[in-house]
Amino acid sequence: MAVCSLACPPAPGDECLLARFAGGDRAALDELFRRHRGAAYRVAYRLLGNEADALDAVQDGFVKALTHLAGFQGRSSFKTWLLRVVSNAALDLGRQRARRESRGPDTPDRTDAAHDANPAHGLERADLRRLLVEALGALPEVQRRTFVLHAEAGLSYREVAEVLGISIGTVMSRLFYARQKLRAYLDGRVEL
Amino acid sequence: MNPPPESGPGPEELAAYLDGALDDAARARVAAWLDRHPDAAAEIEEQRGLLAYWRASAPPEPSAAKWEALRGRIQAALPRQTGQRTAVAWAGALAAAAAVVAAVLTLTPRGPERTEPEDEAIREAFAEPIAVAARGDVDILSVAGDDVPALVVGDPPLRDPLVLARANDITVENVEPDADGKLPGMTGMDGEGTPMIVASTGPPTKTP
Repeated sequence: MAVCSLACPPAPGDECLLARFAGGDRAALDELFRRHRGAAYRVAYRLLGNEADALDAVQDGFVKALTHLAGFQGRSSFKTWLLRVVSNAALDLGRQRARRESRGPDTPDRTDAAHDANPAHGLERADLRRLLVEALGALPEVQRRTFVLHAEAGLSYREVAEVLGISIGTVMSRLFYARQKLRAYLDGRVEL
Repeated sequence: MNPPPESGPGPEELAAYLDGALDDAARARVAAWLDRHPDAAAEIEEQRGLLAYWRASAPPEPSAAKWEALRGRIQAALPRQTGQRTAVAWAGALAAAAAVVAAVLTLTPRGPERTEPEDEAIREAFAEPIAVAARGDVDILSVAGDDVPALVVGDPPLRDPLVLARANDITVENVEPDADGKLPGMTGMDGEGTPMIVASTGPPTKTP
């Protein structure tokens, strides 16, 4: 990893920010957080189904990603590395929650509906999210993760393959079968 | 002889078609195949509808206050700056070493303990199935019929019975007896069943 000892350009890349963070610059962490919090949150939310758990998973993910940078070693982009760790954290949290039998993915956070922009459509969107979370929960974990990383985080096939350590062909076939199962789950519940 | 059954695009290609990730030639080929297979085309269109619902159901962003609180928790949870952390760690370790050792000997159960990074590495190693082969990596040359349902990757060599010839494809022009003067038995030449010419040691069952 390059050491950025001089002043970085106005919009430093993630590598430069990581180097500054490793050198003790906490402001670099703030910028990394600002850049990647959205994608990390959306992935965690889709996997967990509610805001509180998603924020916990994002916290765990950022802390683990930044304390285990040796595992990153610049072999992929920081974004894909972070999303790998966040999705791991989200799935771990989901398993722990299932074991505790606490609030599950089919119980939407009531505060979510209050955040929807259009109150007239807020309930519909929340119901649709709930249905999709249920449908995702019925997928095998590997398909669920592949689908969310591609559909929510907008990762390319290659990036998803990097995150999950699988071939691009496997990404594509998992996407097809995940979509097929999701479609079958929603069939009869919504008009596709 | 009937033409071989048409082989359509696999799931990888259909996913890429839906995502607009195919080149022009491949996209046109898949589109033409879908035109001839309306059930598959309907599936693809319904998956397209699913993705539209997915995009329409994007989760709301947390409030600015929640983002700020999360940022603070992350900052607090991270270790101090790398250079300072090293010095602090050594000093703390020396100061607490005696008490820690005593506590460990008296309170901790015997037996091997794994550290968190090892736990995480183990979880990551087994989080995904070990990829031995992808669908396109496998060519199955033969498989017994009863074993076909056990295939987890690859396609059976024959999906349907292989039709070599039908009765109407065959015209028997001449049949001669063998050295013993016996004629072979023939079946299916009247359009019933599979046409076969079988050498028989018995009396002829059918004459041309």
